[in-house]
Amino acid sequence: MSDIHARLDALESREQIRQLVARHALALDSRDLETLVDLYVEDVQTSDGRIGRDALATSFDVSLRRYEVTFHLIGNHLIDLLDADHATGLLYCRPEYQVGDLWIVMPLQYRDRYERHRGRWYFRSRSVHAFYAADIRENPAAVPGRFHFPGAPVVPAAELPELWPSWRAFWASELS
Amino acid sequence: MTSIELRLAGLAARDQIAELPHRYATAYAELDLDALVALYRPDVELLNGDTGRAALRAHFEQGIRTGPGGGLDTVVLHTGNHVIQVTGADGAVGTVYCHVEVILRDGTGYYQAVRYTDSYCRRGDRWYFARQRTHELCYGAPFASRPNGRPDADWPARQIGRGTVPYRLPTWQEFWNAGG
Repeated sequence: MSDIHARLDALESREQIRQLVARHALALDSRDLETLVDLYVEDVQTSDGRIGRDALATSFDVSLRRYEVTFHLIGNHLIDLLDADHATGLLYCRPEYQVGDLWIVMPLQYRDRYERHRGRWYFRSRSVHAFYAADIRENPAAVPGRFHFPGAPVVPAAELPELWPSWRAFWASELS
Repeated sequence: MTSIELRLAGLAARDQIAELPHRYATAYAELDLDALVALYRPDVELLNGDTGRAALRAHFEQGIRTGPGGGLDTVVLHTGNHVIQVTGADGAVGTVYCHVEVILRDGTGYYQAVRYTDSYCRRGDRWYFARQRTHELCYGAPFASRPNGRPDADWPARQIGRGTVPYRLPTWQEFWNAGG
């Protein structure tokens, strides 16, 4: 590939990956599981170790029945191309979940891995780390563990910002 | 055009289209109606069958001045999740999410979740909204209150209440009919 083709290919890849995360949120909130799992590689691995898109559809189905309306507003998408067919991504999301009589907001960060197969980019994996979860009428800072989400699947606790090494190192040291 | 020129044009088109909802959000908040309607093609089709930027401008102005609460004061249209599907050299369609916060001139306010369905067209080297944007409400709720369990908003008649997405989507209905 000539230099100019490689540069174009990198720009096109970044654009396809940006579309991938937007399509993921749209399919998720529309409960379009067929479109959703088609955004992942064929041999995707589920959190409980099963392989394939059908298994992934089943695990999405189970977790998505715990709430009614969801609205995943995303932003701050960073993409690092590792080589022509592999990339990693980091993005923010401010999802809302209707959970019974509650309306939960759970700002979080996705850590993604992407792969290209036969000219198309897919998710290899996504992991989720929450800043907090709280009902829209609650003070998130006053919620125990910054985490109020009855029956939350996937996310067990608020892990950010403590998960970030730089954050921990900052507060572990004195003013210099 | 060579293959390289075509690919560059494709990238440039997507970039321009991606900016349209952001320009819309800014022009709307600034109440710059001339800038707002300039984002649409001159012969834009309105949802009520009218055409043209002047008709669209009148539509926006009426909604902003004579809406509830004495009219619009502050609007934050935080848009994201732009899915763009290019349908040809001169056309594309898209879906956009928006987290809306509104303060009215009487001091009340509300938030909403909205999903836009857009169509875009190219005229010369510029992309425009081809039609008035179809916006569908997910919910509207007064500030500091929950959206849960509200009657239908019948948007745009009312700003508060239950919307039409995701409820009307075939995929949503199939999911819940399947029962798990």
